Amino acid sequence: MIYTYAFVAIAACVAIERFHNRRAKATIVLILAAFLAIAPRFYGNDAVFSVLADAAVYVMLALGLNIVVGFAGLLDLGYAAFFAIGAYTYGMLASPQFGLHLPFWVLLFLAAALAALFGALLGAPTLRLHGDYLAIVTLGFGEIVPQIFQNLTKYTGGPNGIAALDVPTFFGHSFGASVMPYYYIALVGIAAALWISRNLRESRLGRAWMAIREDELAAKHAGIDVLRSKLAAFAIGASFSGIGGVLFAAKLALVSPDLFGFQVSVLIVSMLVLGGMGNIVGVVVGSLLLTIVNSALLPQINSLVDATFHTTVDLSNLHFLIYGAILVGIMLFRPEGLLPNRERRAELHHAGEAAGDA
Amino acid sequence: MKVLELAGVGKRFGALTALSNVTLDVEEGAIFGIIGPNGAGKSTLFNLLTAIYRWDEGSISIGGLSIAGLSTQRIARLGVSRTFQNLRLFGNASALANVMVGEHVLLEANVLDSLLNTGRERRERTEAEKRARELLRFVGVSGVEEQFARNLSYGTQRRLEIARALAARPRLLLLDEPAAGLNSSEKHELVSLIRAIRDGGTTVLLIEHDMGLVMNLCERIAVLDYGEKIAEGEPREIREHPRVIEAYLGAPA
Repeated sequence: MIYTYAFVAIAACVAIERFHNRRAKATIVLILAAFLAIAPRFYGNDAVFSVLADAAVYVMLALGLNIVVGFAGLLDLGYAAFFAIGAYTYGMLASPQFGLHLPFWVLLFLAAALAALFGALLGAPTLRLHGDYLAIVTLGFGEIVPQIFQNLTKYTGGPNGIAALDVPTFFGHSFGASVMPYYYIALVGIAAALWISRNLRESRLGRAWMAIREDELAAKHAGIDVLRSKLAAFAIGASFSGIGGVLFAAKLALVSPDLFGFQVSVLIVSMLVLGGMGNIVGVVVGSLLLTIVNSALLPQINSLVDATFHTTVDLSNLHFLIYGAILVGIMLFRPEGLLPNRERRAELHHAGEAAGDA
Repeated sequence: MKVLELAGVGKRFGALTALSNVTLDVEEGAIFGIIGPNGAGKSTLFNLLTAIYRWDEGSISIGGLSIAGLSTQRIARLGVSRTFQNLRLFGNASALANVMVGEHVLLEANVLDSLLNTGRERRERTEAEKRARELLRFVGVSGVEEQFARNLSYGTQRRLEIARALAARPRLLLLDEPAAGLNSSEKHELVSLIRAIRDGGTTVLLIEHDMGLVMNLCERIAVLDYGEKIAEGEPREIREHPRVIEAYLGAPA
């Protein structure tokens, strides 16, 4: 069942990439949106929509990171830090921890703002770094932030985190134990993230990011404020994961530092690489594929293996191996990702081939 | 009216004196050439004008305003655009997008406009795209709007870079060896293009190695040698200037 939804979504994405007619694209988007909104009434169960809601959160994260890495060309290996900040915003302000019970809907926006603020703060020291150096520093920040949450035991519950987070309500109706509200909110979140991503790509700021990515010196000579544009990328990118973090925490009703470790940053970067960095639709496909592999395919293979060989192996320990294999495979056979944009394809192939594509 | 004034400008890199005591005025509406043997300090001079380097002595003003301490992007906003000796295009972006980046300083859309695709953003984009197409036509490369800059021929890339620089509607255009690598018919077209740019109201300051082109095109020429200005004047004067002849051909035996 989960595969049906994933397949429909991915097929729609591929179709959107293949069509060049605006109206055709818009039609596919509308049909897909209608399907994703209505089909759950007839088909699927809570387990399926739980996975899909998680997948949707990851799509939002990947779209956010895509703004930083894909648009502005800043390799950020610590993106999970902002996911953590979003999640802990909900964890600390909507739980018995401080007895604060701010509304979910307010925290959604507050977390976006806080994550954006920290995106800019953590981005600021890296503004003059490039390539490897930038990657190392952001990697460090990605490690530091969950460590801080772990060590501020008094405020964050330390290694155990914060449990029994508030169940959100919608005009007085509690979400209860259902995962459907999260699924729908995440869908709306994705729609907003897609809309903003597309706006940005075509905008003055998007062109400034392109210029910085391609040639920072030439960008400066065109009068682009490189530092401010980079800060904007860090802040906007982080805000997406702030919202994702709130959704994730509220659905799980729990936050703990180990949920936001290095593996999450790697996972999101892998999604971008798999799907095609910089290309909005490609990023969606990459994140859907990896989440489905993670949350549905691997557990199924795991139980199949256990049932066949009467073992109790835990394949989840193999996640890193699988990401590694995916990354190596993609780099070898399709370095531009599954659904790349023109720029990336041109960059990674000979000029002649790219001209043929264009 | 002077667009550019240099007074006693000096620049050292460690023990090497790249420029010393260079004084130079460029009048509005001029086509001004800077020539000199390799290593004479021509590119260093350009790099001082766009704040890639800071100068050690003297002063530089653009349009009567000192540019001491200003950043590269601030200077661009004062109306100074440049091209580079080794092209620096945005290779993996369309020719049109390259020119539209050049228009950055003319646009006013802020981050919020960009995020929400507001009316201002859309209106500016439409206008910017239209102007970019016109500019590509003006420099003589229409028909390649959607192609990636890196896939264009060398001569087209040179013109595209000029179009990107012009897109900011600069009052001073710095061309760093615009004729390098062009064949003779392309050079010929370049001369008329640069004249057309000047006639459009932009002052042009160029560095060039091709003597014939400089003599034909520039109304005024300054000659640098070992970081010093050894001569300045009209092409005819420069051609006959003993120190220039010495710098280029060596001292008479």
